[in-house]
Parts: sequence; structure tokens; C-alpha cells
Amino acid sequence: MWAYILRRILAFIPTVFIAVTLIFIFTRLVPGNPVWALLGHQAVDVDRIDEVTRELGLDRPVLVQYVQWLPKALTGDFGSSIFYNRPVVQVIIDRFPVTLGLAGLAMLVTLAIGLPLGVLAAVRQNSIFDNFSMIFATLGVSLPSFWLGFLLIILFSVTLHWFPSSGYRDLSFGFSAWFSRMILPVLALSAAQIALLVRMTRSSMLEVLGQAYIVTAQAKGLKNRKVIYKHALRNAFVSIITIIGLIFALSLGGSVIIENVFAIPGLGQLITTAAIRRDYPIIEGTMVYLTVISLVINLLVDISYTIINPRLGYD
Amino acid sequence: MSSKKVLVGMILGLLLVFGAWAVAQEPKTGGTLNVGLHIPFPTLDWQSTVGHPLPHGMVHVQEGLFAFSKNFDAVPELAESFEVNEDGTVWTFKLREGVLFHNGDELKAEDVVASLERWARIGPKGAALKDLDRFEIVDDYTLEMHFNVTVGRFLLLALGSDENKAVIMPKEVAEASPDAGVLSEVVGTGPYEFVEHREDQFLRLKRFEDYVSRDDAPNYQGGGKTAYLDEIIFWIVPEQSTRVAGLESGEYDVITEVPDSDFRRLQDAAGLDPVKNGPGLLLYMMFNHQEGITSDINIRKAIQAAIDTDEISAAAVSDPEFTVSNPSFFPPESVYNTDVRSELYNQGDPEKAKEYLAAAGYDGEEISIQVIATNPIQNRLGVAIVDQMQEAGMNAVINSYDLATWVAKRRDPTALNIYTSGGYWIDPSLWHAEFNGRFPSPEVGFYSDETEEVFTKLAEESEFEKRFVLGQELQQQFYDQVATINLGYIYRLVANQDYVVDPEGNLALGNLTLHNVWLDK
Repeated sequence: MWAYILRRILAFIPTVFIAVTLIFIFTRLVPGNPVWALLGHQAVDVDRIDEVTRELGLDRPVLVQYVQWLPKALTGDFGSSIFYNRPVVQVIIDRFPVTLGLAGLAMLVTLAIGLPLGVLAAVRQNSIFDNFSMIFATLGVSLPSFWLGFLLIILFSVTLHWFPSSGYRDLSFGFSAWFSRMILPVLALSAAQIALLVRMTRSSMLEVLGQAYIVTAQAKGLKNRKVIYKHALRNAFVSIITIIGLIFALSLGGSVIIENVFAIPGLGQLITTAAIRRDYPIIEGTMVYLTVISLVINLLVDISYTIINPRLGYD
Repeated sequence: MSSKKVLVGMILGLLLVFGAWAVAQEPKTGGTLNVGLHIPFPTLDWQSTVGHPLPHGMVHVQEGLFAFSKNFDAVPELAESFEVNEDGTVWTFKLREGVLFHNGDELKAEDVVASLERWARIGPKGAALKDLDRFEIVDDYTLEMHFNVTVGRFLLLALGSDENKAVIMPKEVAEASPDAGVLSEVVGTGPYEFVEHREDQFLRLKRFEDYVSRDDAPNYQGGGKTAYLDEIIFWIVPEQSTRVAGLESGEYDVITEVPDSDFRRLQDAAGLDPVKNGPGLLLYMMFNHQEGITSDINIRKAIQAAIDTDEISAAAVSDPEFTVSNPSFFPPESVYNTDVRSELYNQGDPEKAKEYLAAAGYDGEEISIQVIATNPIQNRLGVAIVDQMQEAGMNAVINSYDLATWVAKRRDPTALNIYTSGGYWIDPSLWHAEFNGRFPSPEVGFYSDETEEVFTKLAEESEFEKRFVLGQELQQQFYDQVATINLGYIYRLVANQDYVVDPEGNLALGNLTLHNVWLDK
């Protein structure tokens, strides 16, 4: 297993190299630069604009900038944010727990609701429960998360006054201040994920439940619960775990929208703000960071296959 | 009941009502005011940027020699008085004595010099001191500014404008903060002091207990200031709908940048007060004056003739309450507002436009209008403009970009024909930053010797009557040369809970100014 992990980690290097190069080139090719956002864009003295452009080194050819930037970037040093005046890594470390909390809670909710619903829908195929589950799943996938977010705010904040409408408080404000502000974003973020997981779990389970060994197990008189959870679910889990990995990566991406709707200062909001301001070091650092996280998630998913089903090897 | 008893009863009733009103109007000290702000603070270094959010927060923390009054004139803030010599080359400023910084040090002339030197070096508007020869400190509370040229009263407005304010900080802070955007310490002399800033999350201020207020009456950002609130917290809520929902759910006491489409609804909602915020924001059209099709004055005149401003400004906003057509390039609230050349405004005459097109030899080349994709007002404006230009026979199209791309494209002579923007220019001199031949870049900007001469006279002149005439001259030239096209004025909207008491009407003026505001709850 360790040799496999090492092989995969070594394969990260060219992937990350290609990613950082593309990210660097694309961010610089897009018109605009951070100077307007630093100084403001209304009637600023042209000399001052040129001066700041020089100070930031943005007057040099892109290739020169790239050659100077690459060796540092490959060691994880993306320089300092143009706006926050702090190392990019430090800014990301500050923001990551916020997004991790949001995505992690959304993942927990997704697993807690999506898995049992999917299993039950498969076991009770074509029942009213199954039909309702499918209606919910179709709705969940169809509703845009930002729109659902606004609906939740109107219902639970404006009308019922149950939860705050927006904002973020870290744990230094107390657990309830943190948790109460995470509920609506987590619901908005997890709705589509739950729907996806229900559908995938149901179809995987139906496929396994139709297999001969399940019929055999039932014919031998094994308890239905044991057949479903020990034999069927475990085998169905190989494809379900792929979806779970995908969902976690999606929830990191989905946080871009949800964090902006709910004014949560996580990585999603950081990327959006950085893109608007053209804060190149932040854009580059955050994108590389997310790329590495996605690679690690993929690796963990692949490793988990063999844990769930030891017959699958590492080759 | 006798008429005497009725009269006594009425008087008693009136006294009770008046008494209750008087009690309700008695300022209350204390409480936290939560603001839902539309944009994060990229920095707290007000000297370094003309960025929009800075004034909203920092006007409570830092002060300058001068400040905006209710009329958007410059009134003394940290300055006690000023004198100018006959030829306008030496300005002497007397400082108020006993003013304390938040670190406990007293304000001295050396702090002012260090701060203004920093502003002149790093401030986007610091060029206002480009002709300064030297500062001279006369004593702890008096300083002189010696200029190489005659400088008029506009200097005071440059020092007091909240756009990129020349704020005063302790000398050691100014010296320890050589780089733009980075302050070694956030210290000022304002009625609220800095407590904490979490990037993109919140800015927290608290009352400065040792604040030394001016004795004169409150006057927007100037005049007497009282910090009634214990704390002000600016929560960053960029999403418009979320901000409005936060006000409705009671989490925010005041919110900024409310869509005008919400005005009537908030007006009818219990406990909420939407406030129309001025001065009027001029929507205007700018051209590539140096290259391409719009460098031809006949094409610009054709566009000027085609534009029906009533229709365009109505398209820009949802509620007619928030727009007004006015031919002046100085807002309706400005003392410089004038109707010179109003016959060239709001013409909506496609036939006349076609005559100018024929004179230009126009043969259907594309004329693009670039707008910011995320700015709904600009997009609606763009659609209306294109429609009117097409009606006059022009091949007009919209190019929609994100803000940074829009900024880059408007500097590019090969990409730019027309862009739309908005702003307010209370004083005619303020237009110089737009029409100095170098903005948005020397390759596209407007320049004429005649206009430059007017700007020079405006910079030197201090007498209002003469400046008013110069303002009229400037407007005439804008129309005659079609330097820009006035597309009408719009107003912004802020909203607050009805227990937010704002006796001076600050919420209806410019940037958020919460001096003298208290909570009645």
C-alpha cells in the first residue's frame, strides 16, 4: 500500500506543475491588473498608476514574471497578497478552517441523510417512500444553491427569526454563535449533495440487490437487515465512496457561491474577491491549494476501495 | 363640558405629546450599531486609496485639516483657522489645541506635516500638493504651506474630500508606514477608535472617551461630533439580497447600497426607514478622444443629438423617485449647478443625429459601449443608449466585461469607443482629474488648451462668484466639444431600523457618517 501511495504522491508533482503553470498564465492573460483595486478606479493620477505597477513588478514581461515566480511557487511560497499584505499561505491557513467547517458539516449532513434515504429507497423500490425520495432528489439537484440559500434566509431569518441571515463568527465567539450561522449555509450547500447521494446510493444498491449472491443469502434465511447492510451495502459502497469523494470536492467548489450568499469569509469568498481585484498571488495560491486537496481526496478514495473491498488490489 | 375645560384639556394634551416627543428626542448614549456594509475594506490606509469603503468606516476614526460639510463644501476640522497671502502662494493653518490622538498624544503641527507629506507621496489624489515647495512649522499649532504657484480655495476641498482623505496621524505612525496600504498603527483623532479588523468579515470601532469635539454645530463630516454609541461594527455583506434580509430580520441597524427596487417595500415595512442618499450621482458617457471613430467630433455630436436622457435615466433605475434629469455637470445639490447649454441636453433627435453622421462620412462602422457586467445600472444604461443610437442609424453594440477588464479596456485606444460611468463632482475643479488628457490614459483621454486654461483659473481662484462663472465656462466647453455626455442623475438608497436616530440627516448624505447618531431602543 505504501508503495502505491508514494507512487501516487510522486504523480502529484507533474500535475501540480501543470496546474500552477496554467493558473499563472491564465490569470495574467486576463485583462486588468490589481493596481486599479489598490488605488481605486476613479480618476486616479496616471503617474501613480504607473508607479504602483512598477512597484508590483507588473510592468515586466509575463515570461520574466513566471520564471521568477515558479521556483518559489513549487516550494509552496506564493509570495504575499497584494491586498492583505501577508504571505498567501498565512491568508489561506486563516480561511481554510472556515471553509472546512462549512464543507465538513455539509458532508456530515449529506451522509447522515443521503445514505439512509438512498438505501431505504432501494430496499423499498417503487413504494411511496421511494417516489418521495426521488422527487426530493430531483428537486435537490435542480434547485440552484444560491436561490435555495435566499429562500432559506427569507423563511428562517426574515419570517421565523430562527437563525441569523448571514455572517460568520468563529469559535472564539462561542459554539452557538458559530453553529447558528452555519445551519442555513450548510442546508443550502448540502441539498444538492444529498440529492446526488440518494440517487447514486439507490441505483448502486438496486444493482447489488439484484445480484445472485444476495438472492442466495436471502434464500439461506439470513436476516434482511444483515443481507442489506453487510452484504449489499458493503459491495455497493465502492461506487458510493467515489461519489462521496466527488461530493466533498464539489462542496469545496460550491462554497464559492454559498460563502458569497451568506457572507462567510472562507476560501470561496477569498477566491471571488481575489479574482475581482486581480490579487494574483492569492488566486494562484488558493487554486493550487484546492488542486492539491482534490488530488489528496482522490487518493484517499482510491485507498478506501481496497479497505472496503480487500479483493481490489493497488494495481 | 365648558369650552374653557376643552381648551385646558387640549393644552394639557399638547404638552403631553410635546413632552413625549422631547423625551424621545433626548439623545441616548450606549449600544452597538451594526452596519451591513456592501464592500470589504481592502486596507484601512485611507491615504492610499480612493476605494469606496474607506470613508464609510474611517471617517469615524480619522480626521483631516478640513472635512465635507452638508453642502459638500470644505469646513475646518482639525484646523482652527486659516489665512492665505495675497498671491495665494502661502497658506497658514492654525490647529485646534488640545486635540488628542487615540494613543493619548496631542496633535501638533509636526504630525500634520508628516501626514501630508505621506499623502502627497502615496495618495492617488496627493497630486493636489504637486506645486508645494515646502512646509514650515511656525509653532506647535501653526504651519505654513508654501507653493510655487498661486493656489486657490480648491486646496481646502482637496484636503477635506473624503474620496482619498488627507487624514492626520501621529508623526511616528506616518514615518513608520512608508508603504501605501500598510499602517503601522490605526490611530486618528476621530470620535471612535479602532478596535479590530478581520479581513472581509468586520471592522469594529468603539467610542473614544477623550474625543475633543469642535464647539460649532454638527455639519455632516465636520462640525461638532458626539459619539453616542458604545460601538460600531461594520459587517461585510457583499450580497445585496442578504444585506436587505439582514436588515429585515433585525441583525443590522443600517445597511448600505440598497437596490432602489426595494424602496417602496421597505417604506411599507414596519420599523424600517429607507433613506434616499445624495448628492445626485451623475451618469455620464466618456469617449476615446484620441483614436477610432469617437475621436471625430461629428460622431460625438451625433450621439449627443440622439440621446434622450429622460428615457435613459428612467431605464437606469426601477423607481422614478431615484432619478432626475438635469443638464448640469455639477449635481442639483451643488452651488455650481447651472443650465448653460441646456439646449444641447436631452435632445432625443435622431434626424439631427443623422445630419452629423453624414457630415462625419459615417458608413456603418461599429461603435461599442463597454459596461461592467456586474453593474445592473450600467447594463440597463447600455441597452437604452444602444437602442437610441441604433434608431439614429448608428451600428452600436454593448461589450460587457468584469470590472478589472473594463478598467483595462477603457485605457486601451484600440479597444475603447465609449464607456459609461458615474460619480459626483460638487466643485468644477474636481473634473480636472477626468479631463487632464491623461485619464483614463494619455492614449484615449480628453485634452484641450481652452479647457485646461479654465481648470488653471479655477485652481487659482478663491472667490465664489468668479468660480461660478468659470464653472459655467467649463460646462459650455463640455457640451461644445462633447467631452462627455450627461445621462442624468440617480440617487442611492440606504436603509435603517426606525430606532436609529439621525437628527442631522447624515444618512441621506454621501458616505456613511454616524457621528451624532444614537439608538432609541
